[in-house]
Amino acid sequence: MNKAGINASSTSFFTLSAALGLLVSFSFILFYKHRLKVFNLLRISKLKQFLPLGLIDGVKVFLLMLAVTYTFVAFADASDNTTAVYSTLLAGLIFKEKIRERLFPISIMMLGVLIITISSYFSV
Amino acid sequence: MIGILFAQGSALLQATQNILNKKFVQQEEPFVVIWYSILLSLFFLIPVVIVSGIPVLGENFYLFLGVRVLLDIFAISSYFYALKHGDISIVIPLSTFSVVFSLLSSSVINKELPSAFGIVGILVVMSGTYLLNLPQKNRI
Repeated sequence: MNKAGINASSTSFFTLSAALGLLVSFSFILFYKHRLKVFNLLRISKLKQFLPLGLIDGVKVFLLMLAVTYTFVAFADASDNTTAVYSTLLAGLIFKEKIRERLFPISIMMLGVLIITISSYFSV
Repeated sequence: MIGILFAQGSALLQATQNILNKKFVQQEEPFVVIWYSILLSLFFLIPVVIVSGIPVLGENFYLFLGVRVLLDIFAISSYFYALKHGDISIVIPLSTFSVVFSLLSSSVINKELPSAFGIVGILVVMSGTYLLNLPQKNRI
């Protein structure tokens, strides 16, 4: 669906249109759930609290675009999917989740993702 | 080599974002966190569209946009509620299963059968998922 939408416009315009559509949709969902109390939940002053999320998102997309410029898309995609491993390690460090027994299955999943990603670019 | 380093940087930031999302959904309702995340993304998207220009829209643009928004409402809500109620080390690895869904859905929609290599990849991901959800005492 993404590919079709991008073909009918452009990557940035389709992404922006989808973001605006989602913002309106989630505004309705929040209003339906909370009615007028929604104005207490959504305050401009809270933007500061959530600012790191926006900053990280911007830099992340920029780095991924740079990665695609310098290497094969397949390698960049596969490399980007290793986020599952980093997330697990950080979750163990910060939230003290029991990750030790989960690392082996996660590594197997990563191997599978790598095989699928490479297979979609180099058909056998 | 430098390309892989950039991709790894992006992956690390995505992991940091997952941790922050988990922290925020513990303090706020998931829909509020989603709302702010989307609002903040506009600060980056609007300038990009201004610079790159508004394209001529294809005939089915609004149909594709509508379907994408509908699917994303479910996908994003599920991701944030899963983060709120589950461990990151379970939720995020399971989300890599989307690669398998993409491969399978493209074989149905675009009539492109996955290659032998792709099928091996699906089986490997499924094995990892099975092991991840197997109780510790039953593991090999």
